[in-house]
Amino acid sequence: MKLRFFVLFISFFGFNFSVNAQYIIVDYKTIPNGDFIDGKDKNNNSSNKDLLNEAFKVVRLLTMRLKASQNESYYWATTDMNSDVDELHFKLAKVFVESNSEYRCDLKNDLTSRWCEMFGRNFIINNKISDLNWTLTNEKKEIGKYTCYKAYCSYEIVNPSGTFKKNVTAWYTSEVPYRFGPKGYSGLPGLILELTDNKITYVVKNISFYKEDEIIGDLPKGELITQEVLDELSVNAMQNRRPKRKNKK
Amino acid sequence: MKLKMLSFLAVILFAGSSFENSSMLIQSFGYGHCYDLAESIEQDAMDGGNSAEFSYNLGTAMMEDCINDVNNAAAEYWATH
Repeated sequence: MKLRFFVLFISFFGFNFSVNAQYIIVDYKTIPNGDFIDGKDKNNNSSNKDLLNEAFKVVRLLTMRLKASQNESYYWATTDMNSDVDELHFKLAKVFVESNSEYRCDLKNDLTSRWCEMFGRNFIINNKISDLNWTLTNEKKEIGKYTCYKAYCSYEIVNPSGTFKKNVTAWYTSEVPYRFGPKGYSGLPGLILELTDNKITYVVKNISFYKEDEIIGDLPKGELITQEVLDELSVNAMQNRRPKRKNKK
Repeated sequence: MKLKMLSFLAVILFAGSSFENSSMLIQSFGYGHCYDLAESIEQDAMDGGNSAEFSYNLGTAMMEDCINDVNNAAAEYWATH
């Protein structure tokens, strides 16, 4: 009887604490799903494939962090280098988790913004959270002590090799009422505890609840740009390397 | 006077041969394969359905590492020759 009362007290206190928290900090571990380049991609050369797949495994050593209040969130990579890891593998792993980007979400203004650094310049890409078009399902699973529900959405990538459809799967819990998650994915009825996007799964490692008020910081300054224009700039930059290469030979 | 002239010619010839040797060495420490590597990695990434932005970043990381390797190899060579 005493034990049951104690468990009830602890669960109520714990739940109450999470509800009353003013902000949370969530650490996500990153898990690579399979190889970065599958065996079925026959066009690539095998030394690239081996190098990229080895580096992809190092993604497992990185941690991403989300700081969220009720209406805003900030997401970034915490990338302290592990001394046992090959330097090039670590550098590539940081590219895989897009550590040159930081995200800020603002539910009130339906805005998700990504800051990134490229070509020695800083850019900001704005999108509407509502454009994510989540589909909610009744499928559920337990992650730690939380019951999570599955939601999914998709997006398209257009590059010079073609058009590719990417599926995103999220597992969120309404028991932690912060409607945010990794990489700017937000707008679900609770915190995303697990998210799979582009061969990487982000799984919650630790959630810290804080009672103090906290202002979620702004992104660094940057030029406003769309993803399409940034991709165009990237294609041009790749092409510009080619004559440079010929001159160097 | 003749001796001065001969010394001057010797210096010029030595400098010329050193320049010839160094230009050959610079050629052997070229960055061409780094650009090829970056291009090939970028193509693999785009074929795998990744964005041009991501593919460029992956290619850049590879290229920077390759260029560093070339610079280190050249520096080591010049330090020991």
